[in-house]
Order: sequence, then structure tokens, then C-alpha cells
Amino acid sequence: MNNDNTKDDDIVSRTAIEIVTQVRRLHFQEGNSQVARTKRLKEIVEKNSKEIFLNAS
Amino acid sequence: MLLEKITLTDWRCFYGEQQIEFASQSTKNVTLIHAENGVGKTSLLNALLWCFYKKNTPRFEKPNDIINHQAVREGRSMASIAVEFSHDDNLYEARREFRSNNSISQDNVKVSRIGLDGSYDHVRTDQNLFLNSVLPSDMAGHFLFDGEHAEALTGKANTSAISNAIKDILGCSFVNQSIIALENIETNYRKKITSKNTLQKASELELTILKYEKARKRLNLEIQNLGANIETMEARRASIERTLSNFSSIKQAQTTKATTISTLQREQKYERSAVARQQTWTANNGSYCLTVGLCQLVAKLIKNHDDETASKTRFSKEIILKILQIGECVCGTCVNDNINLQNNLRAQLENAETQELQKRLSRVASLTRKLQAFDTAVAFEKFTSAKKKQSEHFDTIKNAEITLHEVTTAIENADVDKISSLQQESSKLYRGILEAQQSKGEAVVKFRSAAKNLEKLKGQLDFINFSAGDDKVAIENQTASNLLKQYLQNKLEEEINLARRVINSFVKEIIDKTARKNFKVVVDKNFSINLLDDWGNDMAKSEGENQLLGLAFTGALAKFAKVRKNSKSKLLLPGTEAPLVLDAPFGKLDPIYKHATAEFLPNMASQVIVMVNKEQGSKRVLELLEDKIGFQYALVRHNTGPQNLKSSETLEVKGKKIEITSYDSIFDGTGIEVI
Repeated sequence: MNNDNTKDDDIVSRTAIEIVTQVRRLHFQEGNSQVARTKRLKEIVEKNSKEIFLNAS
Repeated sequence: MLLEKITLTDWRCFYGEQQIEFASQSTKNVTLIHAENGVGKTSLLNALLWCFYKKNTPRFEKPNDIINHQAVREGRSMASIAVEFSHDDNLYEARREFRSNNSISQDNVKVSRIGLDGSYDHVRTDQNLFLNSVLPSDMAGHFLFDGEHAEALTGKANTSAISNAIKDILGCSFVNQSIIALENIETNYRKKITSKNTLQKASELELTILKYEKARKRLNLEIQNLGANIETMEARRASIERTLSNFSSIKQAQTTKATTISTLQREQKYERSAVARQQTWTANNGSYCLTVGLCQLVAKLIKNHDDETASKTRFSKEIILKILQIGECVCGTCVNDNINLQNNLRAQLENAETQELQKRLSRVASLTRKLQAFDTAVAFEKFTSAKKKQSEHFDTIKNAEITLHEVTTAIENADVDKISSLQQESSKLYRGILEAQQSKGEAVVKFRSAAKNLEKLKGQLDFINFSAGDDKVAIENQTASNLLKQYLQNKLEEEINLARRVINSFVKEIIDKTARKNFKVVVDKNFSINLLDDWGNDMAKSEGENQLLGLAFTGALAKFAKVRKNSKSKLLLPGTEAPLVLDAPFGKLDPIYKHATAEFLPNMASQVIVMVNKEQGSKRVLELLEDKIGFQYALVRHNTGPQNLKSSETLEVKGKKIEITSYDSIFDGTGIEVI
């Protein structure tokens, strides 16, 4: 099985994991509100976008 | 997770409180439940799904009609399901109650840990989260399995069902939700980006700035290196000069030698000059000085001659002759008439001089006067001075020759090679220092120019960023969203492909043991389950084969979930070990397939709960399962009405006859009887 914490440990993989973890948490804690999910995910994207962008370029 | 017990209270067809204890030993892991159509097999399966997740199987009718009708008639307004299960060496109870008061319905789940003393400790974490960690709801549908519709998984038109099942077992739903959300976010940001040209310019400026910054850094380093080189060379040169100063006497001698040679050459030149002056003096003044005495004598003789001649005649011979010739004197006196005068003139002619002689005497007299005027003392003084200078230069030359001889001897005795080598090195260093200083100067100029340009470009960038800052951020966010989405999609695809290969292998293992035909099972790229003959041709599947494949696939999913139990993936959910609850697994199988299935069923999971009707649970099937059965139950239909003309239904297990339909009962509903 693939082990995500031993490879691809870069900003993209870390942020992706944070996003999926947050989606899972929101699903159980606040129901499946798409608005809340989008808002929270946008925050995560914006927080890491500069580093991801620089990393990619 | 292993199911220990289920308690149904007034839930759907189950009247009052009914219990089933499940077999959970590894040697006897099968719980067999006998039930005819409409008695409650599917309700029992749904009771588990409802308790854990408030979910139902797709074909479950009237899912909101929860409370047993007779219980309602008797005034009760609550139904509940309580499931005891063991997980990670602990015993838990999940209880969901449904209450209906004045048209308001409530159904909450409560999870408690059951202590060794029988006490119930409420699980403090989120109840749904906890249950999902034990058996994720997405996976539950594949463990709590409706065997009557197994072909739904394997039919050609249902490839998405296989794909979804694998995704469910992998726990992909949150990754999928994340991908969809990221797609929306990316679209949102894309709409915000308006001025791409400005941003392109900003991007180009950033690249240029980067180039200048690199150049500035490089030049700064170059300046520092050159400075360090200069310092090193200067230090080395100073050291050499200090060493050379120890040879100062030699150096002095060298200097003296050079000076002396120079002096010698100069003095020799001066001496030659003094000699030349004397020679010139002699040429110019020698005759005067030698003839000065003679001049006095000549002057006296000429004077005496002139005095003597003047006393005899005042005319020259040529004038006297002319007077005599023409016979008239210059004063107008006629000579021819005067003999005395003629005789006098002829007597004067004897003493008179010619004009030529008079001229010569006059020139000699003039010369002697001039020579007599010559200042001999002054002339000799000049000669003496030139002579003295010559003598001085001669002395200086002699002294210089002595000095030159001395210093040449001293230099010849010294280690001139070493001095020369050091001197050469010093000179080389000096040139190196000059070159390095020049290079450093050029680098400094370039550095200042780069700094100036950099400042200018940064100013331009600031201006662009000020006007297009929002766009830049939007592009960064859009790119990041896209990269994150792609990352998740790739990861998901990797995992699904891996899962497909593993499940394919498991299905093949089961089919090899059970199917009567020699075919290969292949889950293709599109998640279609295909049967291939020896030549690789796709074979048509019968209904029974489809159901067999569906069961095999379910077993493979259960095994795959168990394999993934310890997965460390942070994106996907870990797998789980869960009971397999099979509702009518033998539905459309012929006897041979039924028997083969009965043999592999106990091996499909750690705990297997099988619900069968009389036809499915044939004598041979029961014999094959017998060693693995821990508990057996029969669901009995109770009717308050009379039997009338209806025939009795009995079930015979282990030689025991059980009435599976009861009439004139005290309630209408299903009861559970232990066999």
C-alpha cells in the first residue's frame, strides 16, 4: 500500500493531506455543508498557494 | 470489528424485544439465520445499517415506517436497535432509538463502551466519527451484502458499481469531495483573473530582477574576492620588501653604482667639454697673446716711418706724378711755369710712398692698435678657469672610478640571484595588484550599475503589482488549486489501479476453487468483471455465474479491506476487518455452485452471517456449513389471525422441527427463535 508520509513529502502533498483531513472532519462535525467546505478549503489553498506556486515554477 | 449481539425492539416487523447473538469464534465463525420471504431477512440487514449509519439498502421499502405497527397500536412510540460489537479488544454498544411524539421524529445514535463489570461508558468523541472509524459507512454496504442482487456488481452495464465499490473500500469519498471542491475553487479563481498581459509583464520583470540580483550577487562576490586577492598580494609584497630591506647595503651599493656610473659619464663629458673650451680659447686668443709685444714694436716703427715721410711730403707718389703730368697742383698753382716747384715735386717723389703701401701700413697700424687694445689678463683668466674646471672634472672622474670599483666588488660578493628573484616577484606582484585593482574598479562600476537597474525594475514591478496584485494572487491560488486537484486525482488513480489488481487476484483465487468452467477472471481498466476462456475470448455469464462473481468480488473486497487495515495513507481511510452479512447469497445458484459457495463462505471474512430460506439452505448446504456454524436462528412469522386453510410451514434443522409461521399468536410480527 502506498505510504504518503514517506514519499512526496512536499508542499503539495502536505496541503493535499490537510485538505482531505479537513473535508473528513467537516463531514462529521458540521454536516456536509458545501459552503463551509469550500470556505475552509479556500483558506487552506490561499495559505499555501504562494509556496506551491513557487515550488511549481 | 466483530458483531456480538443485536437487540431489536419494536423495529419494523420485529415485535417487542428480540435478540440475536452472533458467532464470533475463529473456528465457528458462521451465524446462520433461516427465514422465508417477507419475514425479516432484509429488515435484519437494514437494522444493522440503520443503527450504525441511519442508512438502508437501496430496495428497502418504506424506510421511514420504523415502529412496529402492533406496538403503535398498543401505544408505544419508540423503536430501537442496539448492536454490541467488539473492536480493538473492547466491547461497545451502538444504540439508535427512534421516537415519534406528536409527529416529531427523533433518532439519535449513542455509542457506549461496555466495561468488564457490565457498566456503560458513553464514548465521548463524535459518535458518527467513532462508528466510521470502526467501519466506514461507505464500506458498510459491501459487508452488509444483499446477495439476491449480487449480479448488480458484475453486470456489463454496472461497471461503475465495481469502481465505486473499490473506491468505497479505499475510503475515497473524502478525496473525491476534495477534488470536486478544488475544481470549484479553481474555477472561482480563474474568473477573477482579468489582466493576463499585466501579469505576464510582471512575471517577465520578476525574471529580469532575478537575473540582476544574481548578477549583483556574483559581482559582489567578485569584488570581495578581488579585494581579498589585493590584500594578499599587498601583504606578500610588503613581506618581500621587508626582506629586501635586509639587503639594503647591497641595494645601496647598486644605487651608488648606478649613480657613480652616471656621475662618471657626466664628468667625462664635462672634462671633454673643458678641454674643448681650452682648445677653442687657444684658437681664438693664442695669436693675440703671442703677438701683443710685436704689435707695440710695429706700431712704433710705423709711427716713426709716418713721421719721417710726413716731414718730406704730404702726397703719395701717384698724386705727385699726376701733378707733374698735368702741370697743375691741387691748389690750382701751375707747376710747369715753376721749375723750383717741379724740382721740389721730383725731390718729394723720391721720398713719397705709393698709395698701396700707405693702405697696407694703415691696415697694419689699425691691427696693431686693435691688438694693443686686447685684454690679455681677461683672456688668460678664461683659459685658466677652463683649465681649472678640467682639473676638477678629472679629479671627480678619478674619485668616481675608485667608488665604482669598490661597489662593483661589493655587489659581486653579494647573493644577487636571491635579491633579483625577490625583486622580480615584488615587481610581478605590483603589476598583479594594479591589474586586480583595475578589475575591482570595473566590477564596482558594474555592481553599481546593476544595483541602479535593480532599483528601477523593482519600482516598475511595485507599480505593476500595485495595479495587478489581486490578479497575481488569484493566479497563484488558481495554479495551487489545480496542482492540488491533479495530485489528488493521480494518487486516487494509483490507489484504485493497485486495488483493482489486488482484488482481481482475490476474485481469481475464489473462482478457481468454485467455478466449473475453466475461465479466467479479469477486472479490466474500466472495472468490468469479465470471464475469459483459454483463448482470451470474453464469455457470456449466466445469472448464476454473475451471482457467484458478485459473491467472489464481495469476498475479495472484504479481504482487501482487511489487508488495508494497517495502511498508513493519510489521504485514504485505512481498511477494516468487519463481519460479512450475506442476505440470500445462494439466490440464483444451482446446486453445484451452491455447494462450492457454501464451502468458501466461512473463509470470506472473520465473521460471516448468512441468511437463507429453506430452498437456499438445503440439506447439503447445511452439512457443508455445519462445522463452522456457531449459532443458528429461525425468524418466525407470528399472526394473531387463524390459520384457516393455509398450510403449515416447518423448518427441520438438526432433526428439530420448527414452526416458521405461527397463527393465533398474541402479536403480529416476527419473532426470533434459537435453534
